[in-house]
Amino acid sequence: MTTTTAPPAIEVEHLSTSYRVHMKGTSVLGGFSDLFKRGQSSDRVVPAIRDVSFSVPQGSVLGVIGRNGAGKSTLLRCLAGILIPEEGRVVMRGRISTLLTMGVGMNINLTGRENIRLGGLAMGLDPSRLEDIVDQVADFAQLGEYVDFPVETYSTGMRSRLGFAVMAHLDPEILLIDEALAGGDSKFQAETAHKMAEMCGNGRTIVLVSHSLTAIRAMSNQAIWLHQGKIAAQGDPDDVAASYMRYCRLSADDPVLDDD
Amino acid sequence: MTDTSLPGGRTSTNGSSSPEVRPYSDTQYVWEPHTAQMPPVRPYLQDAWDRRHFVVAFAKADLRGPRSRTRLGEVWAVVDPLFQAGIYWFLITMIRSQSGQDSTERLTILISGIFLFTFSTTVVGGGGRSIIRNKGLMLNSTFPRILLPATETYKGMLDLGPYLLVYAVIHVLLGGPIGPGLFFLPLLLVLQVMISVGLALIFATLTVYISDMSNILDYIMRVVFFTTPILYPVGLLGPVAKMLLQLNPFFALFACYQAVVTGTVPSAGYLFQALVWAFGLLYAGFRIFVSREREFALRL
Repeated sequence: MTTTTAPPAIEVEHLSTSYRVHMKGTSVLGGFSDLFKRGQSSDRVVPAIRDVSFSVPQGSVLGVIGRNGAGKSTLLRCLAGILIPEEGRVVMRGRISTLLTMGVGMNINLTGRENIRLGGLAMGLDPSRLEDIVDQVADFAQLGEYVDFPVETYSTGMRSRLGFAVMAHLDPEILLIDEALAGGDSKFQAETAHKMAEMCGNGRTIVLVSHSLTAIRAMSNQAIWLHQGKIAAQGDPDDVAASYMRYCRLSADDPVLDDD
Repeated sequence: MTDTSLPGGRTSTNGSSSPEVRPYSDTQYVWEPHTAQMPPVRPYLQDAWDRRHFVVAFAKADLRGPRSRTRLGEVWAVVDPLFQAGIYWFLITMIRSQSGQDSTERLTILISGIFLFTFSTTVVGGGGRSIIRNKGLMLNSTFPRILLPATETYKGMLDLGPYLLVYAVIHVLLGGPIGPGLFFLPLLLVLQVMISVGLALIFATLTVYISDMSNILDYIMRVVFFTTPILYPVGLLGPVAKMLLQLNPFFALFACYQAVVTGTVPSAGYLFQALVWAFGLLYAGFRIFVSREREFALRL
């Protein structure tokens, strides 16, 4: 049951996918034969997502929790269209912007300004709108004069500030965020939370992967707990977080899960 | 049945109970299981064309980055090939000091060949590695992957400009002949771009599947360099050598370039061969790359 009449922003039906991992360096002949003999690859196949279905209505925030390796990042990459489903189907209705593991996707040899431009252009943004956005992003990320320094000179916190600022200002309709808020200082975290609430208020849809149950409970209005690639629980964030904590044998007052 | 719409419980907004909701764009993506098939070509190319500014910005930033930290900066774009030409000229004059060849002709063939081949080295070497080198971008954003080899191609073109200008000056200074073959130059350049891009797309795909490919690529390009008529005039080759060397996609093309810089007209045979290589490789490369590009992220 959704509160809006618009179709859900995200619909995932029976999604399954897996990673192929090279266990050792592929030989030339092995690689060649892999290329031509599809489905008989010598690589190890690691199932990552198994039969996952859910839908996210427009304007809501979906929190995704689970242990390391549960398939959270893989799920986001499937939503973004970076990884292909092996089974099932994903429908995304809106312009997508992804903010995956912090700093990835930035070219560290280029300056902050160049990274902002490239991020926008890769998303297909009109170059004429770009210059305004560059200034807004630099402002929001509080980089000051460092915006013209190569990203390799940035601290981890500066990189995640830049990453979030870029994605939030590209005016996406669906924002996929993976643990990318960790690393910024408390002030910046408060600002990102505020920005996300603002985007949500504007009807944008957000999928947020986090280990911080506090963040999930505060920001999302629905949650999914992924366990070994399957949905272990879904529904109200408080209920899902509670079952997850019971599984982890932690009481609600236990602070250890909060890693940022 | 797990397909449930979750209830939109609390309203996490900026305080207003009925926020101003802008309607979403018509953008819709459907991700479905994928087999090695070609996507519809026209929308694919349209999508790539819409993001052409990305190619331009990425290429310029990528070229500027490393050079901006050297004293000579952009001048390296011209100094590099000059040094190379000097070294090879020195070697050849040492080896062939008594043979009495026309040194002007040899020099023009050598320098023009090295300058022009540098473009292909950039495009095939850089384009071939472009997918694995931009892993971060590949795992973080969705865009037609052909933009990455396209960026390397554009980088090569940006560098080729000064190379050609420097060569024109050298050609005149050496007193090289200027003949009607010059009219063929634009066509030959287009064919070179097509051959190089085709090879780049094939190697870019191979490097994703074969981790050793990126190491082998340098050797392949070196072999291609020595089997391309740059260090020697085509006329010096015996019939068997010529036949074997024609397996190199660049052989016929550079035989045509030789004709242009020595003041004659490219032979119809070589021109036809170069055309076949250009269209064949570009078509094959495009098909191989685009039909597999959605699998790349899984393999990185």
